[in-house]
Amino acid sequence: MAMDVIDYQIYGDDMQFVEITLDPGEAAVAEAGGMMYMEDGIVMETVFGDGSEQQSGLLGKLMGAGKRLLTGESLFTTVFVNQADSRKNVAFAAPYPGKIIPVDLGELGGTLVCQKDSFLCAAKGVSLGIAFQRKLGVGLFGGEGFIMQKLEGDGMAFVHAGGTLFERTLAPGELLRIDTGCIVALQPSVTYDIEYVGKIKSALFGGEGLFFATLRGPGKVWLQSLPLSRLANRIVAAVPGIGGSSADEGSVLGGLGRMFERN
Amino acid sequence: MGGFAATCFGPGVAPEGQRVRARFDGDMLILELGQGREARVFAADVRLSAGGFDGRQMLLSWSSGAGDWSVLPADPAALERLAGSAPATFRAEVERWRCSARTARRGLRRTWLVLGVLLASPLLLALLFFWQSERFAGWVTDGIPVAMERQLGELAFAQFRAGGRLLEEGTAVAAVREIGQRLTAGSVYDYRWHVLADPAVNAFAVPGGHVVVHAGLLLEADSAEEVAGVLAHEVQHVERRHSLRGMVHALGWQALLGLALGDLSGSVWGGMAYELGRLRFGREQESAADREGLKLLRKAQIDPRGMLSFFEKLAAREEAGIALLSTHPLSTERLATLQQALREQGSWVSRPLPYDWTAIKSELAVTLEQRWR
Repeated sequence: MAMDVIDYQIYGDDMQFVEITLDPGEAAVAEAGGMMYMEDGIVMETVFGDGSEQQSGLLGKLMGAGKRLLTGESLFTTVFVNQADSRKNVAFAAPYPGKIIPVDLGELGGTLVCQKDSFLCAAKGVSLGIAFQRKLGVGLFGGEGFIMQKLEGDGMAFVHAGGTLFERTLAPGELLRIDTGCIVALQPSVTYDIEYVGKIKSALFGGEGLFFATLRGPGKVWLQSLPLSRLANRIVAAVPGIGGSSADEGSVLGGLGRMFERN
Repeated sequence: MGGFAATCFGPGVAPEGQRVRARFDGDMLILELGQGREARVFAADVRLSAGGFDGRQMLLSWSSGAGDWSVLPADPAALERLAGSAPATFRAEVERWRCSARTARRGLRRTWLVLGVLLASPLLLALLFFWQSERFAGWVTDGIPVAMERQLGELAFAQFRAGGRLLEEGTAVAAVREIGQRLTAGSVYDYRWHVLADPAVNAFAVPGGHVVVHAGLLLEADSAEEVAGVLAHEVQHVERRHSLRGMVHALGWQALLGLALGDLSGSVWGGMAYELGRLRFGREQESAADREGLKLLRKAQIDPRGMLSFFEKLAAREEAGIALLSTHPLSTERLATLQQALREQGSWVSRPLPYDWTAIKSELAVTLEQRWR
């Protein structure tokens, strides 16, 4: 089916949003709750499923929606249609610090596998499915779980991840070892596997965990420098009362004063 | 035709891969890169392996002077069909791929199966236990010696006795004791008979031989024979180890549910499971106790009409809207079964019980009156 060709502009450095320009009649789909602003003339419509109209019938729609639940997304997608007779803008913001990657699915051969929850928005016609990891070890220890998101179509899609994004093209057979959790997206031609770190000493004290994720070419991969879960762990560890110490840095007594805070 | 669609990665090709058509020509594999460009490789140099996101994608790879190449057929079946036109070495590669793909699929299926069974095993165990719980409880119960049963009963009864509601003396207590002893002569159990100061029409037996009759039941009865009928029924619960079985049941459920649901306190679940088990097996046990109780009456030469008339009374109460435990069969049903059993056994010579039940009842009523005032 014909995808809507959309123009876009990404704003911001580390807390980005993407502004999409829609021609009259064009539409974009987004995760529910991702919209930042939209100009007059753009109409928002909430649809059950992913709005790609690839699933026909009620059963197909229910299946699609069920799959979306598995990937941790909302059952509904929001479609933004430009009903004015001039070009209008709509913007979608990333929910946490990081970068937005624009991906042209047509260039990538039509399919991209990406991290759960990382989809931000796309041209209408892009379908959101699940990519199920059949390899048990990878599902358990690969850092991305058994279920990842699969974007299919040939239009633009925008994916979001934490920290700095790194795009890397792997030559055939080229191997990259990656800390689990840092994978954002990969082309389906890339072999995704896990590898034991090798020595029991490094496994226990190396701080990298028991397994690396390995990516073997050919194909493109995108990595994130700061997975949200890692950021969240550090924040929780620093919150007084939950697990961290109250860092009252202005105290004259400093550490001495805090001696009496805990029983 | 004569080729298969594939995505090609390699030197001088777009890094995201390029859609190409590939075909075999003699001992060469030829990729049509478009715009008249072609890449050629000896099919014998091509290796087949599995790769891709979930390890199910077929990868053809080889090295050339310029670098490494990978080709991903869009449809592995098309390549397998074409393999016939390829050189023998490549055909062998395809055969190897087919085998290894099959093995991998089978291994994967087995792993998932094992995992599924492991995850579902507590549930399966619980189902099995529910289905066969009576049998399991029977096995365990059979393994408990009478001496241990008595100890268990004493333990359970000690708590009950501490409630202080048992009547210790009086003609009623003596009568119950005497009738009971006549019924249980020669039993391996050491029976103890008690009367509970409680207005409910009820009686129960504790494992090991403590039988408790509520005073309300004694007041409701019109003759000693009627009481004897009830006692015979309760004695059969002890003889047939029904209450012990119930305890084993409840404990087993508690342990199992604790295991399955991770709630080690498990008291709520245990209670629930016990009730469930009773609902399912209670009726059976009650009918058995009725039937066997009748035999006991025969052995002790006690008139069975007392048992029948007491159940008639219970049936009338039921109709009057006083609810009995649902674990007991409906009294009318019981009555019919009992009459049937009696007909089958035939009548027997009975010695009347030497008690003036009206006098015993009035004395009991006075005792209770004093107690409750």
